Amino acid sequence: MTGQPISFTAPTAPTPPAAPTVTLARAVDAVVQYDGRTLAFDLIALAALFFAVVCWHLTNPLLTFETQFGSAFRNVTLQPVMAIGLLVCAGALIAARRPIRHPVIGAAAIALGLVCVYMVLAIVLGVNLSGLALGVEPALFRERLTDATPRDGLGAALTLSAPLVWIAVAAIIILWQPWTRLSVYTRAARRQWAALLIGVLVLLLWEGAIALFQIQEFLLPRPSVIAAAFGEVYPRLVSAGWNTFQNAFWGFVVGCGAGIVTGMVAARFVGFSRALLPIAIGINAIPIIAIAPLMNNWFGALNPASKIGIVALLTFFPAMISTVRGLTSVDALSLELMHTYAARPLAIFRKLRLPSALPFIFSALKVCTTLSMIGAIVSEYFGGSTAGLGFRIRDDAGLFRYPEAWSAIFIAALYGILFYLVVSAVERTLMAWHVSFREP
Amino acid sequence: MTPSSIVTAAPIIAIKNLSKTFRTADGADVHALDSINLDIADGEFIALIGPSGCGKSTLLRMVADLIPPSTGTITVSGKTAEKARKDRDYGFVFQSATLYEWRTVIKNVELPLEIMGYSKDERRARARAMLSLVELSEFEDKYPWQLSGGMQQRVSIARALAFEPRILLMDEPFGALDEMTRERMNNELLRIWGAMQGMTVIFVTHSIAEAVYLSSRVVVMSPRPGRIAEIIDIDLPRPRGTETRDLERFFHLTSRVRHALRGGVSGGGMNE
Repeated sequence: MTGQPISFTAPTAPTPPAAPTVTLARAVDAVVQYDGRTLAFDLIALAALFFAVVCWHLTNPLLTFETQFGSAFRNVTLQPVMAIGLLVCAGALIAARRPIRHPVIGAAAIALGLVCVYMVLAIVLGVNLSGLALGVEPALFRERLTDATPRDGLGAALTLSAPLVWIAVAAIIILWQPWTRLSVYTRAARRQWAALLIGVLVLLLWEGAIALFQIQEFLLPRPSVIAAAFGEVYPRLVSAGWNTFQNAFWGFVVGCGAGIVTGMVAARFVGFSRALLPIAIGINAIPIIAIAPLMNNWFGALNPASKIGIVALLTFFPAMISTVRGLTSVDALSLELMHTYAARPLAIFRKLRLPSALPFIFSALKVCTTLSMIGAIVSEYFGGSTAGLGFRIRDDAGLFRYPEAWSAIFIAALYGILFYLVVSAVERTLMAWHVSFREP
Repeated sequence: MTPSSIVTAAPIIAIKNLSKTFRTADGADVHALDSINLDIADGEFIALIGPSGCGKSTLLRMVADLIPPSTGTITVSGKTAEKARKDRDYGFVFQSATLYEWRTVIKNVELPLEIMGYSKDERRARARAMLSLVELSEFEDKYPWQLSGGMQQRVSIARALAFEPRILLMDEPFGALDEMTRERMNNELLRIWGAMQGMTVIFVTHSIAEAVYLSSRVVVMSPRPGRIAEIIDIDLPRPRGTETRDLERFFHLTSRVRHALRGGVSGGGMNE
């Protein structure tokens, strides 16, 4: 605004990146400028990495063969979990967009990409490259091992592929650069210290109260007992959780997808939505989980469709109602603006209605992540695959294995939180403009 | 009504016997506007002024074809108001900036161009030109919330001008701004109007000083039902600037508008 006697207040934007002569400290400051957005991505990347490492540990055929559980807990479904974990981790690290550029970082990104390719090949196409190089039967990587299995080649192949995981972990750490982000984490921790403190206090009180009042274990086990049990049984819980999570996820996709599409159609035709919305709100008030036994009757208890159906039904109505609300509660002036341009309905939908409905849709999706986990677990209480988390909880509780049941509940919470985090990360990327994500 | 010397050629906007009756929720009829007749020449800057509820915004919205008239006609360069809207003859600036918060400043300015099917390169070029006209070039990648109220309103003016409409309709665009900012924005608007050669502006306001300072004619309206009380020619010299506000003629004209607003006989003893 040079040459004019005008000086409006400067916008409260982040300061521009530092001058070309960047010292490391300056670079760190530059990173911190972008922190709020990337903190969620860091969390997701870390959680995914943790997941991938746990799964890698659990999918080693030799390791599982030699544990006392035998091959019973060898679960091939963990391999996809690991691959997805790694891909989510890589995606979150890339989406966080660090401003620092360096050849080492480029090399790390390429290495991570190659490991991902290796894993995807092994899992999706069944082509294990290290096994192929040593002439190991590909089926050995997927089937349960017995004493008769020739293990020499397999062991060599696994030894060969083990460094790949370490390379991936190193690449992730290089991409993540935790040391440049310490101030971000301390600030986040400082903001959350009250919550952390209360969490720790609750655990201590829990532990102390049980010792003090001599509460029996079948009523409420101590946190330390639960933690010990968790350490023992987490391999099968992670895989049981994955089986249940898949039902939750596909139910979520089907339910929310159908809900959003129906909501869009309903919002387009006002009469239709007026007729549909009261019914939808009414149905939404029904405890839908109550029809889980009927779903088992329709699809068969062992068929995942009965669980996916419940989750889809649970998530359909919130998604649909929020979509209709979002699409129809558009700012009147914004709509008039479109009329002054003589915009067609499709343009109004794409450029105005959909963006302004996104906050509504995403708040419904976030509620639905929790709903879908509830639906998937509880529907297993009424019968279903023995490989699911709901079955585990019911079984453990029925056999007086309460610490194990609590561990299963903890795993269910972890899956639910991860699911929620992923959806809110998508929200953050699609709605970075929204008021709730603005830096103070 | 004061006959205007400017209206000699065919008017770009001709409003004939226009009335508007709203039906309220309890079934009563409210006469918002009654028998409005107004001719506006090409390139004029018209200010519509009146107390709250006199229907000045309603009149502007009917010209823009955002609401239909009850009786009477609006002709815009020989077409109906609806045809003119569909031909994209109007740019409209609302009282609030009404920027889309999910779009950056430049994407907001490009919005009408996207809808009207301009090519990507032309959109960028035009939006850049308009942003430099309102002197916000360095803010093109900011989001609306990062701008002050005055800056947001300038973005919305740039957006209204991006497709070079023949007529700019402004509904109390600076009503929410403080007095200092408003005076600066008035100067900006006159500069922009000068740059957009031959553009006709209808400007709704409830500030007397603003109406006199900006316009070539002030249309004073009276309420219940909304009528044109008087049309006052503003013969202040152009270009106008801060010193214009100190002219004796300026004080004279503002007091004439004030009298007309009070519904009394306006400016008795004036030389017209």
